[in-house]
Amino acid sequence: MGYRRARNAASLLACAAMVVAVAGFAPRPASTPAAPTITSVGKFVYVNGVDTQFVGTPGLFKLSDPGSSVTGYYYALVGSEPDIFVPAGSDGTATHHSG
Amino acid sequence: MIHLTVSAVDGTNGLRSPDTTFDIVVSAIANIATLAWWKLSAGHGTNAADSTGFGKTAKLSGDAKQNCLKAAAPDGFRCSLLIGGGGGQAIVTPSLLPIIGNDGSFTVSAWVNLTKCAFSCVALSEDASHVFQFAVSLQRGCRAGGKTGPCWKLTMPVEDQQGAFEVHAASAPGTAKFGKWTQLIGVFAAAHGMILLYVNGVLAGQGPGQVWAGPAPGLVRIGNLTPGGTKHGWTGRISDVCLIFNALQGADITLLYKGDATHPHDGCAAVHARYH
Repeated sequence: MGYRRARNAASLLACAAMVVAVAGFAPRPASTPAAPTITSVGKFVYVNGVDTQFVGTPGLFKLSDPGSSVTGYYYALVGSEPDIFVPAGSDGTATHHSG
Repeated sequence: MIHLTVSAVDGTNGLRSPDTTFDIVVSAIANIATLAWWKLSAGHGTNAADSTGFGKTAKLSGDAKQNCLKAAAPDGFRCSLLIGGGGGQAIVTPSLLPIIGNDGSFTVSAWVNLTKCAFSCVALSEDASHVFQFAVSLQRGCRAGGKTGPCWKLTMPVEDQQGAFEVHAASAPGTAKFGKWTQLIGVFAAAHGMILLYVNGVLAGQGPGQVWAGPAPGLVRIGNLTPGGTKHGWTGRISDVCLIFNALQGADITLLYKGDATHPHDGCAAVHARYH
């Protein structure tokens, strides 16, 4: 049995960006989730470590971990420990804009 | 470079995954971008929308309100932010990072109409941790060249420490007028170590400025200075405020002051449209 729950966070830069988190959810014995995958999606695509966009370009990032039993994500910008939780949504997808 | 760091969590057992990091890098080519823009022209309500679409809503507090006049201001808006001198302000809370920061060049713009000011009245500022990052204001008693009188000022502390030395770009004493719509543009040209103040599109003052990073996502205050209150509060109107990445100069300053054929008088709209 398997189904997907999605959640999303937001954030970014002096420009407004958004993070969309999509979590794979499949009940199984407790184990440490695998490291998630971060993918830039949306109109303006960022490439990890490459300057593909100008300052002020909104970014949209999808967080996924389909191989693990996860209920959400913690994230952070800059260099701090991830401490902002992205709660699970009930409709499969959700978005949250940073203000 | 900004690092987006993410950890997955299984809420049923509390186990967290190792971190994954995505390095968000923006082009080294200096572009111009409007990062936030508040027309303040709704005429009602306690929220002022960010016209860039980035969602940096300004929330009105105290005696600040959006109010309309019969005649339009020079920026074309009949309605603007009205503050009664009681410490009211429009506050913008960024999410995780400053909207703009002293770690690089920026340009800020506002149309202002100040009724009165006892000492120092701030039209626009951004908080740091201990001081502020920048402030655009009127100072009642400026002195220069043997003259004393009101002047417009762009002020930047040189570091984020209490009592930090402040650098200024100011117009000449006596040039700041009460009860008259005036457009103020403050520019931090980081590469040149300069701050510049333009009044109604004309360079009115300049001074040294230096780079330092605001360590926290400081509040942007329209009509006040950290920590708020009446000491540096505004009595009058403020309209069409925008914060722009990079240092505008030359024709772009004129554009920000006058607008263009498509956006007559509304410089924020004209700059946003040109560089969007």
